[in-house]
Amino acid sequence: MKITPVKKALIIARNAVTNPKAAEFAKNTVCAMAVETTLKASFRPTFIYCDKHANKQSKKYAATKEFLYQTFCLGLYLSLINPVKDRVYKLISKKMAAKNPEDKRKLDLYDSFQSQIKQTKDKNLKKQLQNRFTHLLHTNKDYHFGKGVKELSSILSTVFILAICAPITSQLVLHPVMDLIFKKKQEDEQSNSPQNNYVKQIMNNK
Amino acid sequence: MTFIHKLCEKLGENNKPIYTVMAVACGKGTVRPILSITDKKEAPDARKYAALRELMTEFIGVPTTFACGLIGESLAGHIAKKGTQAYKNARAFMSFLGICTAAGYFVPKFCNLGMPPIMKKLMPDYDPNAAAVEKPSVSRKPAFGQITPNQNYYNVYRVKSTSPFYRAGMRV
Repeated sequence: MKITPVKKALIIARNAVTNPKAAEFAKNTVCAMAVETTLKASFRPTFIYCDKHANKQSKKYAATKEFLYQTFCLGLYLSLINPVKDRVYKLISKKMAAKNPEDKRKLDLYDSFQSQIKQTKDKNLKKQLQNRFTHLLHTNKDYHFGKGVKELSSILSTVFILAICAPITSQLVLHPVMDLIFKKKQEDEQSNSPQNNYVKQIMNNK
Repeated sequence: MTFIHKLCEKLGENNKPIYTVMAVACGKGTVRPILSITDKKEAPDARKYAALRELMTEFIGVPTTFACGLIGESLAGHIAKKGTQAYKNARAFMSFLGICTAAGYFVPKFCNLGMPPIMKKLMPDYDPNAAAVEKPSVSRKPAFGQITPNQNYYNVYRVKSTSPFYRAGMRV
């Protein structure tokens, strides 16, 4: 039997993919959306710019607009997500708790553990509590409901910010910015045209 | 058990990034075309074109992202043994990687390839390049001392056309 050595890089990649922290990062709505929007902001304008069907001027315009729009979305999302998410969570949990006492118990359980972690100042103790909380989230079904409400509020807030707020506010902000950029560019092009350079040269000689 | 209760239990047990991405894509696919079609600053044809283009982008984006997420998830079986915690972790991360690949490469690539023929079929008479070139240009008065292409730029000293020096090219 022939034994081939497993490459070190492959082992590192496998460890990185199966790492629980990486999985937590991927499952976190805010982190996932932030990474996705950053990728969109960098790659979408590049693809628009490389498009062979459009002419140069319209490509430049569309790529700049897309870059500004995605960057604006990212900024708006990161600045608004936490306050909006907290409000939505409070609203949903209040409604759920009012309907069913069993749901109220589960939500209280989840909230009390989270507030306990927040209030702890000792770093080691905080880490221990966080590990225990992560373990409970995977094993104890009572904690699933609280986490689910938290994730649902995250998803709803993300949809509200990125699909409703961002397009509306971007229309108000992006139109003037785009006008400013392309107006200025056009003015520069006109002032640097051969005719105007010639005039300037004559004026200076005079 | 209500629908929201079931949904919360499911999300608490296993939240995938694909759910949020799909929800946002569907929301954008509804809101952005509505906003484009109600934008009164644009011409009616340009509005219709922009709305259709945004709708088609999401039509391409939603299945592509979904498929990439699923492909990523299915690759987790090659990385870790099924049923283990490592497999679950790998599944979540690979799904995320699939979505990132879709957002960064496949969706813009497919849009670049598929959009021109689709838009030509939907709006055969409309030329987007003509409108896009016109858009950035702003009509304005020329600044002092600036000469527009229509003017005779050799006539810097404003010599009257009736003057004998006008066509002689003399500069005093």
